[in-house]
Amino acid sequence: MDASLGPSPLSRARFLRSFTHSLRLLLRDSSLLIAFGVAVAFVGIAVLYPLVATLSRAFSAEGAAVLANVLARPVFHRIILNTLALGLTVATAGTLVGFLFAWVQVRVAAPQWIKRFIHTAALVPVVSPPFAVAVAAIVLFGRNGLLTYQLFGLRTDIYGLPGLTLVMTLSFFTVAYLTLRGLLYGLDPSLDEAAANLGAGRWHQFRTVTLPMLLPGIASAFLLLFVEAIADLGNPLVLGGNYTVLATRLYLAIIGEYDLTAGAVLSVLLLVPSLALYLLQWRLATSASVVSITGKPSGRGRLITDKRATIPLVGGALLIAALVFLIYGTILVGAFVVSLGVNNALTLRNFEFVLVGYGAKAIIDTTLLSLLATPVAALLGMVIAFLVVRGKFHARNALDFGTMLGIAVPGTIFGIGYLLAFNTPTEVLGITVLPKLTGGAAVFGGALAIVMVYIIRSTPAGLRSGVAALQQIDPSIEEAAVSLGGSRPTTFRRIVLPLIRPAFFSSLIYAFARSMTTVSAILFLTTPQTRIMTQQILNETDAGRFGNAFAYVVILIAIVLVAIGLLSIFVGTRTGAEREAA
Amino acid sequence: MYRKTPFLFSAVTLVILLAACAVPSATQPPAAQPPAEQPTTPPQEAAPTQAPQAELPPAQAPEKSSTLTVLCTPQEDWCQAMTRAFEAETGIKTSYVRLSSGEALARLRAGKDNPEFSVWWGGPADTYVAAKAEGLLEPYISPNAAAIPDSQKDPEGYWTGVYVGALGFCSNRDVLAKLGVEKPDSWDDLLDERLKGQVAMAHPASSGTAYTAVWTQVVRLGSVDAAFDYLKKLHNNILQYTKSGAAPGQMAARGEIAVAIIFSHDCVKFADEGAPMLEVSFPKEGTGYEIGGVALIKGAPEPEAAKMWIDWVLTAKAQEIGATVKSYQLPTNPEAKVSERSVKLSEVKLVDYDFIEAGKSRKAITQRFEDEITVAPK
Amino acid sequence: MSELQDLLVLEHVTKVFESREGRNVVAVNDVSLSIRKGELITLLGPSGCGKTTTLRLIAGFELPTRGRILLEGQDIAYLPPNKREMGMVFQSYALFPHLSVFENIAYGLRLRRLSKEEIEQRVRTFMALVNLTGLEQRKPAALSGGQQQRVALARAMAIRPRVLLFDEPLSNLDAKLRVALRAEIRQIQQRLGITSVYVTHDQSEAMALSDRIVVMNEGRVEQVGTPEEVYHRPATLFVADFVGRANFLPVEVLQLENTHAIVQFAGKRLCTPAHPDVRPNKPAVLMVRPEAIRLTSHALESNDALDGVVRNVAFLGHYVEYELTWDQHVLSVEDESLPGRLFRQGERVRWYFDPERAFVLPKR
Repeated sequence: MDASLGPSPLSRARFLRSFTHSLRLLLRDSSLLIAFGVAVAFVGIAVLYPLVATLSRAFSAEGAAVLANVLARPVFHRIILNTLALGLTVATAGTLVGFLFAWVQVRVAAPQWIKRFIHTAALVPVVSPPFAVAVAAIVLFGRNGLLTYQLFGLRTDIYGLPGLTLVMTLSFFTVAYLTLRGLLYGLDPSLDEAAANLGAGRWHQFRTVTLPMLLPGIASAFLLLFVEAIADLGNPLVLGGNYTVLATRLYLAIIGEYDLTAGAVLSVLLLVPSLALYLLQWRLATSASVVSITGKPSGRGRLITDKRATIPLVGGALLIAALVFLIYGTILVGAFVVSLGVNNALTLRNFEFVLVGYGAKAIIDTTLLSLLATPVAALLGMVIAFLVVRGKFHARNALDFGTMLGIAVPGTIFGIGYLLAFNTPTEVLGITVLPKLTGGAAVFGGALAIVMVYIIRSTPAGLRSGVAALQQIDPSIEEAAVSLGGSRPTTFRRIVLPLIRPAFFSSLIYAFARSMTTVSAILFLTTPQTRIMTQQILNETDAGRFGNAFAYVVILIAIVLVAIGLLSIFVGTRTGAEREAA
Repeated sequence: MYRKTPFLFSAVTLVILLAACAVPSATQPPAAQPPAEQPTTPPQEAAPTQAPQAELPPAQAPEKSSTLTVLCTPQEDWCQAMTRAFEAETGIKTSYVRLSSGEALARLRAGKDNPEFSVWWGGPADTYVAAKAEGLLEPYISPNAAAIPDSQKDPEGYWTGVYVGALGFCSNRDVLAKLGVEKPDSWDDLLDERLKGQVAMAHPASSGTAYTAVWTQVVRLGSVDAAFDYLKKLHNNILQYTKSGAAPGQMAARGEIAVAIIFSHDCVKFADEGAPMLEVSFPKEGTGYEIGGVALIKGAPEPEAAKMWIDWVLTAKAQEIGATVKSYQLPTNPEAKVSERSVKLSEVKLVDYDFIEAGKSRKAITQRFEDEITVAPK
Repeated sequence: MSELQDLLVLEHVTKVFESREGRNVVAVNDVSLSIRKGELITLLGPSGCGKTTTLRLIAGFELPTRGRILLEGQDIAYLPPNKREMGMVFQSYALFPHLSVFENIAYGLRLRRLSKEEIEQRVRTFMALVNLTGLEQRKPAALSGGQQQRVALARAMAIRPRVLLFDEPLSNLDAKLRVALRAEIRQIQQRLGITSVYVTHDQSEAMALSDRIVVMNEGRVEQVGTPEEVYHRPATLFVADFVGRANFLPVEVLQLENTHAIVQFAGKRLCTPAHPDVRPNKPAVLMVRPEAIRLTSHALESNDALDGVVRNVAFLGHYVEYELTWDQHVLSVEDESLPGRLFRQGERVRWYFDPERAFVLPKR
């Protein structure tokens, strides 16, 4: 074999041939082409363009100057360290809590109602704005907290790292819980039995068999939580105190100084670890799916019944679950009270403030924009999923990755990116391609930019669930349909779509909940004409009007729950009816 | 049926985008726009921003604006009351966005080429000075400005004072009692060891209130370095630097801290709204004060309405609205009735606060604050 | 305890599973067994018959609702599975995916704190025994099904268990591999003399491997016997039908004679071996295995032969399967395969059988 340097002419030709082949395939299937075009346009405009704008500003000459400034000042070293520390503590605590919950759900014998209680507690944070817990925490655990001071006489300082860790752990551990729960369910129970049969006691089994197999999943959850923690803006704003992290400093740079260059530079500082860790957890998550490889699992998993183990485990999980419910209960009560902890008189003034005037506008705007974004995001997720799974062209992985960037990149960076990219009309070769999308005089009052942001933040989840659903459909089903005479669009409509309908509907629910609760990404994008609830909550919290903030949160959660309820009913009756008809 | 839907969606989106494209070209003002030389000239001067009526659908900027967007810095309820009253009085549909002064300045900077607001109302004058220096304001001398004392307005008419407030200490007497500390009446009182973690003020980068407090130290101690020495010592007792200026008062109301450094009118407001344990006191060495301003924004989309607003807020009647929503700032119009809850300036020692100097030094001081104070160990 | 080698005894073991809706499933119903030292005994039966549950009870993964399980005289029903010194080969092999072949096999040895050299030696020994030398460092995912099965076997044997348990270990392999591996398993088991309990639903596998077979049905033991006994002298109709194929012919029992019975069949009197519970004038059937039926062409006259018509022909290479209709019955026949001797569909044939090869059972 001759050692040639670089690709041989033969392989290059082969690559070119397969590329043009893919291209021809694409062109032949017009529906696929349109889908591809839409997907690429979406990812290009809504995701990549703002990121490129941010990067180019950060790496410009002024950007370099700001970077030098930043790296020189010790305050920024401290900020970066703070950010990393926060990520570490929240990731660790969140993974531990998530693991505990998952373990109790899957491996421990406990009454059904306890398991349901714990499961529900884990899911509640999904429907609420991420910093709702923070606000309640101040009331419960602050200097004058209901629990800490008024009940136990302790003067605790909830602001800063400890408070942030507590609050963010409770807000984010859901992801770790769901991931680990799925993994535990997927473990072959006969592996534990084999270990026991060979002589291993329960603890040895756990240490040498269960844990090593869960490790990739645990690591993946850890990294995901780390990225979420350092990207979060709401909680550090409310509860950070003097504990400044990159996200809050970034916020200050824009809101306090409108220094877009500094914002861009800080964004890059935040982007690098976020993206790197997100990619790492992606790798781990895919390798974690290969958990057991041989034959069909036999037997049922044995639940732990030893009271010495179950009582502390279940007790711990119950305690944390109770804490979650306590916090949301506080929010509910606080909404109906003048100032919880200070003046506990019942009042409807908070709701009056929130539902009249600007409050009402924020509620309507947010709900409307979320409703607009939801079907688009879910649909886009399915279309891109279809392209990624079934399309046979090279750009598949690039498209997948590009879409996932929507969630891998911290929201604040998109906020800045959108300002940089869309604050002035976008021109290509002198032709105005896009109008001014952000800022007060923007088209639709800036609402379009917000909808775009909602979409890019919700589509990734739809994409993943669509991919998972499609991968479970044997391609020979589609081939059978085609051999019976159906075209591709018809096959998609009548065969594939009904089979992935559950994934589609769950994406709808997720997209709505996510859009309603988005905060980091839209804080820079609100205008006088477009008000968003999460920003209003932040304002009220910042002004110390907790009653109003609680009222807003209650209404927001109510809206999300109603939407989920309606959607579930719709899904339930439809698929139920289909089952009857079949 | 279903397959066509993504196609439909993309088609619809495209159509929307294309339609939207057509709109901005009409509303965007030409890049170079000569500012009106004389603020009191009739509408024609401002015509370049508005296309002649005949060529545009009535929804586009008419000669007399039917809407007004206000950038509002004081408390939300005062903003609401004012805008509602103005709308009732003039029929102009008025909306506002409430931003603290630092954020407001940043927002104006952001909208420099295409302002979203027409008038800025409230917030300390030093920020207005900074805005003027950055070319974000347009001078307008209202006929009603004649009634306002010279010391409370910009000589060139870029901004005019609408209220005055004095910086003070807002203390929770119950907390003080538990700590065994007397109500503070000097800046040095705040350095008391027993007040460790019991004091709060805002961050000068985002809050005009806090910036006033910081600049007050510069003025009373004579130099920036001396001020920062004091601030470093004070830092030991600070629980946290909040984002908005009046939030420390809320913390005191909730009993989380003993003393908040805020404007006295905010303290009185909180006390009246359900925190009767709050008490105001002033430092005997002298304290800073703010003059709340109002200014026409350069390139305002609704300059006519903006001018009407400026005229209106300088009237005695408008300046009395504050008291009805428990905003007890002192009105600048000497004719306006002063609420008895407002501070009596004669009883307070004020430092010689130079707004120009304060405004010019803002960026440097806030950066130094961040570098030296916020990270200082306690 | 008896001097004889009863290693493992099940006494009236019953296992009831309670489902959430309150319905109970009796998986194992009053099963009593004595397993001798060194024997390979197979639990055979259709799915749901309770054989796997019985195995898991022995292994300790289930607790009996009633009854005792004695290992060398000791009641082990409440002994946790990791203390029973039994090795189990799982249907899905249950190899630890994150450990190499070597580490998989060494797992139990490390738990028993053997020295490094001993572990090394023992692993290599057992790997050689199952013909896997050279694959020590591979991970299970890189092995074929047959290789994985052998690792599972080596791993279970390496700890030198008192009893070896097999839970349908060959069911995931293709036919040829299954046959090859079952021979290997049998060889190794006999060589080492390990008492083994084997579970399968494949009766030819059971017969090829076992010293004794326990035929189970719906949680109960139908018969315990050698493969020969079970095949030629089934204890119940179920066993007769489940193990191999059988034709059941209607007969009348006239009288008993020791191990035989005189029966009336198709107008003739036959003397055939009889089940001990056969009684005159009580309902009975005559079991005739397909290979016991002889066919002749119509031309050859024989007074003992009966007439039949070929309904179906399946040429299977080494023998030919016929379906015959006779007097409203359908008979299965296995005839030898000779060139030129192939009856066609619809052809009339004469058939007969040697009464000694038949067996009369009570029809219960």
